[in-house]
Amino acid sequence: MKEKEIFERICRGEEEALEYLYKKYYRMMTKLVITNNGTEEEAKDIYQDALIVFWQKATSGNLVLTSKISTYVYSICQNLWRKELERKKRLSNEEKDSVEFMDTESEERAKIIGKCINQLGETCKKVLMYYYFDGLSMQDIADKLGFANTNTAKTKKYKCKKKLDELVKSHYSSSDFLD
Amino acid sequence: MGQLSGVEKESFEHQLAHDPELKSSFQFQKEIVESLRESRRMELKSMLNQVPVGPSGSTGSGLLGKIAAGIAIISVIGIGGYYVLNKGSQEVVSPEVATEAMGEQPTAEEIPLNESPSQEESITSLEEEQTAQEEPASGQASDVQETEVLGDNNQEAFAQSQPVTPAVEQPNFEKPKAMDQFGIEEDGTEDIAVPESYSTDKKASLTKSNIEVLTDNTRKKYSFHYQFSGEKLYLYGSFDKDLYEILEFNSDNKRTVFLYYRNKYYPIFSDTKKITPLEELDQKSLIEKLDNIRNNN
Repeated sequence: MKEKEIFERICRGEEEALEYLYKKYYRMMTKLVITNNGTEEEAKDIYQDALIVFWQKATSGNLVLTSKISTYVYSICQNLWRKELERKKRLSNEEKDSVEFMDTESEERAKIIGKCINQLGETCKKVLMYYYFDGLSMQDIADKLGFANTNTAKTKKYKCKKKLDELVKSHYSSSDFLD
Repeated sequence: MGQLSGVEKESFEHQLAHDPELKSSFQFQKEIVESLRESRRMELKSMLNQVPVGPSGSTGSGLLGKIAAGIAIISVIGIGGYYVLNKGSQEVVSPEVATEAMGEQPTAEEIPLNESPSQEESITSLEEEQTAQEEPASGQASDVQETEVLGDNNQEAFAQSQPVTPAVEQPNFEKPKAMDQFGIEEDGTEDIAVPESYSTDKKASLTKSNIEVLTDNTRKKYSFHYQFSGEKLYLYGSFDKDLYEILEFNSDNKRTVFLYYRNKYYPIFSDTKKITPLEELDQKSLIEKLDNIRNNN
C-alpha cells in the first residue's frame, strides 16, 4: 500500500489501514522508547497512543500531511514519551497524594459514564464515538453505518446522545453536578 | 461547524462564570464527551492489541529476517562445500586413486581404519586380503602380486560381488608371517632373530618394493609411528621423504619389510592395522646383514 493511499483510507476512517500502519512501523516506533529507558510495554503503549492521535487528526479532517506518515507519528511518539518521562519524574518528586485524590473523584464519574456508554446499543455507541472522537462528518457516519442519508445519521446521533444523558443522570444525584 | 468564534467563546465563558446551572450542565456534557472519547480510544487500543506484530509485520524485523536467512544460506553452502571437499579428499584413499596420488599426505579421515564411518566395506575388503595372504594360490604368484590384485580391486567392486551385512565380524588380524622369521613371540617382546633366509639363502631376495608409502605429519599424537595395511604403509611423523627407504624381502610366500631411516632400521610388520610406534632394530648381526644387502643393491 502506498503512503497516499494509506492516508486517504485513514481519513475515511478505515480501521484496516490503521492496523496496516501499526504493523508497518511497530519496531521503528517502539525502538524509540525502548532505547530511551522505556520498557517494551511502555513503548507499545506510547506507539498506540501516538497512532490514535494521528488517527483522530486524520479522520476529523484537521490534518494536512506535509511529511511522511512515519515522520509525523515518530514526532508524536517523541512528545508523548517526553511527557511521560516528565510525569514519572514529577510523580517521584512531589505532591503525589493530592493529585491522586482529585483523580480518584473524576475517575469515579468517568467509570459511571463508561458503564452507561456500554449499556447503549452498538450502533448508538458507534454513532457517538464516530462523531465525538473521530470527528467524522454525518455523511461519513451514514456511509460507515449504512444509514440512508445524513439526516438519518443526525437523528440517530441526537437520539443516542439523549439516551446516554438520561442514563448517566439516572446514575448521578444532582449534587454530583453542582459545586 | 460546531465551533465558537472568538467573541462567541468569550461571551459563553462569561455566562459560564455567572450561571451555576449552565456551568453544571456544561460540566456534565464535557464529562460525557470525554468518556465517549476515552471509550473510543480504548476500543482502538484494544483493536491494535489484537494485531500480530511478529517479525513479518515490521520493517526492522523483516530486515533481521533477511539477514538471518542470508546467514543460514551461507552456512548451508559452507557446510555443503566442506563435505563435498572432504568427500573429494577421502577419495584419495581409495586404492586406485591413492596409487596415483602417492606422496600426498593423507589426513586422519583418509586412512581406511576400522573406526572410520564406512568401515564395513573396508573391513570386508581387508578380510578378503588377509584370506588371500593366508591361502596362497598354489605358489604360482608371490604375495606381493596377490595383494596387488586385491588392491586393484576397488572396495566398491568387492562390495558388489559380496553384499555387506551389518553384522560384520571383527577381522582376525593374524600376526604377519614375516614375524616367524624373526622368532618373535606372541607378545613381541623377544629379540628379533637373524633370519636365515637373509644371510646367504638364495631364496630370499631383496625385491623392488611395491609398497606405497604415505606420510602424515598432521597427527600430533603420532610422532614416529606406522600403519601397514594392504600395500600401503602410512608413516606418521615428520619424515623427510628423501631419507627413508623400504627394504622388502620375499621368499616362499613370506615377506619381510624394513624401514631404513636416518641410518637406522625399523621392522615393519605387515597388516599392522593399528597405528604402531616404530621400534629401532637393535640386533647388530641383522643390521650388518641389512647393511650389506643395501650396499650390494
